[in-house]
Amino acid sequence: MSAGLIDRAVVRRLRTAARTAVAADPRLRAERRRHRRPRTYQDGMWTLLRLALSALFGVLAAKTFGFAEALHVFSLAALAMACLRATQIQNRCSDAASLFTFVHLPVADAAACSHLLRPVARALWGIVLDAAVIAGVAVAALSPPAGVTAWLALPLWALAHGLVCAALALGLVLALPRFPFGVMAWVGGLGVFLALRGFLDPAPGIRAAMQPVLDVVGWSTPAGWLQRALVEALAGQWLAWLVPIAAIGCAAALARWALFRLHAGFALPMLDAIDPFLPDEGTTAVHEAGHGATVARAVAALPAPGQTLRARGRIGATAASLLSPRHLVVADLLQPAGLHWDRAWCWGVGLLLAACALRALGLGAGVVGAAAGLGLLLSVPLLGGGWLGLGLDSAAEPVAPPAYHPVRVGDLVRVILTVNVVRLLAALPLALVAVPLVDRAGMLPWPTSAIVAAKIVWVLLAWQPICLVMTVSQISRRGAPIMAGAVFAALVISVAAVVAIGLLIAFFLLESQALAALAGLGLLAFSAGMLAWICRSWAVGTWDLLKPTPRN
Amino acid sequence: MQVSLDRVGKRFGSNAVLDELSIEFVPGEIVALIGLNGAGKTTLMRLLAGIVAPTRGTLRMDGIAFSRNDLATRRRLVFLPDFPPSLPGASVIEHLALVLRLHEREVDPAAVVRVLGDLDLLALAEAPIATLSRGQAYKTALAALILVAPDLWLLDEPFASGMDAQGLAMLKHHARAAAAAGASVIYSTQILEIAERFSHRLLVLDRGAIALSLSAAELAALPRDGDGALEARLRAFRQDQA
Repeated sequence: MSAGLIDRAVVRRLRTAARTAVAADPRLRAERRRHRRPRTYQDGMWTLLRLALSALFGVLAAKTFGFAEALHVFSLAALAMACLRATQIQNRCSDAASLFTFVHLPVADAAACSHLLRPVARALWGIVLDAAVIAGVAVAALSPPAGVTAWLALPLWALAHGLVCAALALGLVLALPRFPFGVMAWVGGLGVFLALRGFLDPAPGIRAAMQPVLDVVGWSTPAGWLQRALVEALAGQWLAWLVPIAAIGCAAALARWALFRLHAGFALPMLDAIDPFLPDEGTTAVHEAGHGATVARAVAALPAPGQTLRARGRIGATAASLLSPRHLVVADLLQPAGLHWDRAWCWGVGLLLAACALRALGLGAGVVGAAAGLGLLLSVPLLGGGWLGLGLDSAAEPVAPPAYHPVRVGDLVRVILTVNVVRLLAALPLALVAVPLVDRAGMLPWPTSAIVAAKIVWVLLAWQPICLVMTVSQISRRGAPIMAGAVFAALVISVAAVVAIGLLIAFFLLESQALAALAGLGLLAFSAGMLAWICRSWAVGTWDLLKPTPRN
Repeated sequence: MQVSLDRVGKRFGSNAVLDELSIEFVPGEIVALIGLNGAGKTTLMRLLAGIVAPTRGTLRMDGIAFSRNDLATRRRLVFLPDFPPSLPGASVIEHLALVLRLHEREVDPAAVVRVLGDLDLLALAEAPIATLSRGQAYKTALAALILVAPDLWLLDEPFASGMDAQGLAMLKHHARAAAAAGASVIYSTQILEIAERFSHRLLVLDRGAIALSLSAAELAALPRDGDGALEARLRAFRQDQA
């Protein structure tokens, strides 16, 4: 956790005192050992991964495009990162758990704001480090080798770049409330996608399509000015050195002003504003009525079982019609959530129509394929409303709701499978349209592309039990019996995964349709076998129905 | 700390949770708040802690009007809700360091070790609070309260907090000592036996108003059974409501 309001020196003193006291008592030592958890190094691993990606970016920049041209793409990525950081800062300032804690403590608004923003400040220094790595690797990979001037420019450029990004992010945070929720994250994500596209696909068509965007970014944003100045400075224009220096001054001033505005505008809310469990007008009516007749009327007005499914539109209603009354109650327990299934299907149709239009206009196959693929993904139970579109999970509780009730795992599986099979069948026509669009060369004859579409739907169908396995294991904690055989289990799962991948390849690539069909059946059998195994583990109590506890 | 409420009311929308409440809490007193579910006990606690604002009326601490922005007064009180919150990822020691710093108290490592030892938390001192049981998490918050030694203790259902016998004994011991030293201790409970034995005064809240106030002497004089017993009187409130 971040330091901020916590005095690290005090924590060290207290830790030393506690350790000394524990070390002196064998009973306490044993107790501490009993509670010790394995240390995880996730933060360090993510940092290393990010730096490795930055280095890869740098090498690609220098080798594929040349230093100067690649910097334009990099300025687009910088702008996108500023958008993402702005979203991160906004999220930090409205972090419910921290706000709830601060509400209960005598803390000034400005101090709470500083504490919340502290990890963000650290992350902004991460931008400087990333920029230094990218530029360092790019300069090192230049051919002919870069001179001393280029190496000397690196720290100055990285600092200027980091500060410009930070100032942009902080400035955007002040403007964020004027945008609809999530817009900035989408803009940032799109920018990162475009920048990656520019780096990873050096095809002339893509570069030509991206050039107007890069030109606008290069000429109109501070990050773009900085990149241009660096290129000119390295080319011997000494006046260009003034740009990063001026950028550092301006960005520092802007960042300081934005931080001041953030602190001034931050106010811890009263509990009424953030506690969802306070009584409201809705509960008053029931509370004050207090009469048996009123309560009986309220109970009679409760929606019939399966109403939550039917509220998801025609697809949900079709699934509801296939379920027994008991399973409709289980469906309500699973709380269908996320994207409205009918609307997701319509979005899929819309995106496929857009892909057809793009193809008619003769745009790049990659753009058409991306639109068609996204359209298909929206309509199948993969992205629409979580992986399954049904929730086994609970927001705050370590135990998922189904675990509290007399519900068999078979009931849960039956409901989820029924719903997902209906959704997949609804997606089949879309797959039939999407496959020829994704087929870049456009060489597949219609019957072949129809078979490929059917195979994709079949694989998604066979994938459903695996999805269930993942979801069920996500809300369960493996107990001692399974841990004792963990190595054996890992070996079995590894072998099974290899077999599944082999079956998948055979299903799509075998010439003989009979053998391919056999592979497809094998895939389904494998997936169902995994599901049967986890259902049995659940049923006999091998696994606890608890989420894994957090580790320190 | 002298706490006085003058015609204080709190509404959530059209729901009047507290209605024209006028009470006085004097230093050195342990006060138990009891009442039916939804009577307004927790809202009264939150109001005294400054984390919800009264819709009307005045709340005074030592004669001075109190609001949430009055940090100097807030540093003299500690409120433990039924699920005391902590910052995400904070360990027991980090939580203590945070609370002591925000209340501007000197940190004495020996005192911290002693309190953690008394509450059986010493071996868990470096564990994240999120990994502790509910009782242990409550004990962490209680340890912070004991170390702060505030003038006003506000405890929401401390006897239903999941703490073990040792934790409850420590709570009672320190609360009695604090009251003897002049602090005010206000707690809510649904356990009548505790309220009868562990308070100088008992207030019964009913639909946002004080329905009954009993001193320690009056409590001691109450019959254990029959219509005059505390349990029977509370049952009467429920029947009135129905």
